[in-house]
Amino acid sequence: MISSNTLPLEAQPAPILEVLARLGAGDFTARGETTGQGATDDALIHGINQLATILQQQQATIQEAEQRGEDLLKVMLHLARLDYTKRATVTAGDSVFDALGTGLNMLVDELVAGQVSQARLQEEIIQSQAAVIQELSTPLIPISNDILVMPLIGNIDTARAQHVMERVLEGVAAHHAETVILDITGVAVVDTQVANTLLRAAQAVQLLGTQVMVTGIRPEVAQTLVNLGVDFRRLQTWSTMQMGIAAALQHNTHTTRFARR
Amino acid sequence: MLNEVRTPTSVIFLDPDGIIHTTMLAEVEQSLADAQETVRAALTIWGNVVRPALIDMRAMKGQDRDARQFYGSAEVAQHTTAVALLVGSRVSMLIANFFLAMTSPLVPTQLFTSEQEALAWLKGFRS
Repeated sequence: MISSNTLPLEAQPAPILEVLARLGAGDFTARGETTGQGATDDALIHGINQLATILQQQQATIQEAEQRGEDLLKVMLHLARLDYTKRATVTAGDSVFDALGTGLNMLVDELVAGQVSQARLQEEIIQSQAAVIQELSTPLIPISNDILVMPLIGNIDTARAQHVMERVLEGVAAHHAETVILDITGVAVVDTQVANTLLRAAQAVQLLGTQVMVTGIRPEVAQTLVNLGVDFRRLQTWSTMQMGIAAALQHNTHTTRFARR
Repeated sequence: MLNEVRTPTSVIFLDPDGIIHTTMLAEVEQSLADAQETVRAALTIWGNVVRPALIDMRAMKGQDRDARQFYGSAEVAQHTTAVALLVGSRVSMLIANFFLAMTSPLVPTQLFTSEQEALAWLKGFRS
């Protein structure tokens, strides 16, 4: 420690004061030069230079610590935004920062793994729910030994249209049905796609020797179908499901009687 | 029979007390492939018995999640009666604690900073 008792200020040469002033201002690169004019002065300059070196090293250590702290903070900020792409820097050393960085990186790995497994689980749940919904969305109800009814509700997209076709064909084959009634009372929008689905399903079912009825055609739907140019003439159509069922029962009774004769 | 084998990330030997020593080499960051190679190599000197194992992680720098899960799996646990994790550095202490917390080991597993204490504990698990 420099004491004014051992070295009065007025006795100090100007260069020493300049070095001390720079060190005091935080410039730890400042160094004094020995003059060889006096052992005391040179020892003082040497001591000040040593002190400056220590301060410079400490400053570098603090700066490095701040830098590494910033690095860890950046990773944590990314984590706070659920962004797991950033990793902390870990050096070959064994500082607290290396340990913190290692731990943080391991936590990130666990979070990523947890996120992946959660996403996989959600995907499985969605697939399973979709299968159930698909099954429920195309119920095929046998109302007698040879009549099946499929009430369609909601929107029909390409995937559901395909499923309708498959379910009807499977049902006809399984029940040996003579008539299938596709009821579209609950279909919100009947567009070209829905119409084509019904037509294709009907054509496929007719190839199995089963007749197809479409029921629940509301006036506005009928108008839409006409505007779209959809030809339903090859299908029996009825405005309500009740009418379709009555017609089917009558047709099948007649067919059965005719067959018995 | 050989009583020492090496992999690029570890050195394994069987001591006269029947304890398997696995030392993770300095600056190593083990991946799943490294962990599998270590266990495969260890089994060549393991013999057809279950043994206590000392894992010296003091110089280790890291271990990825897949490697950690592999070491904690039933596939590895079936060969061991107990595991002593030897730690020293801050980093190794952290890796070992993480291993214990995240994998829920299937055999008795404990952290040690003293090799002598670790070996003394493991001797109680010789089959």
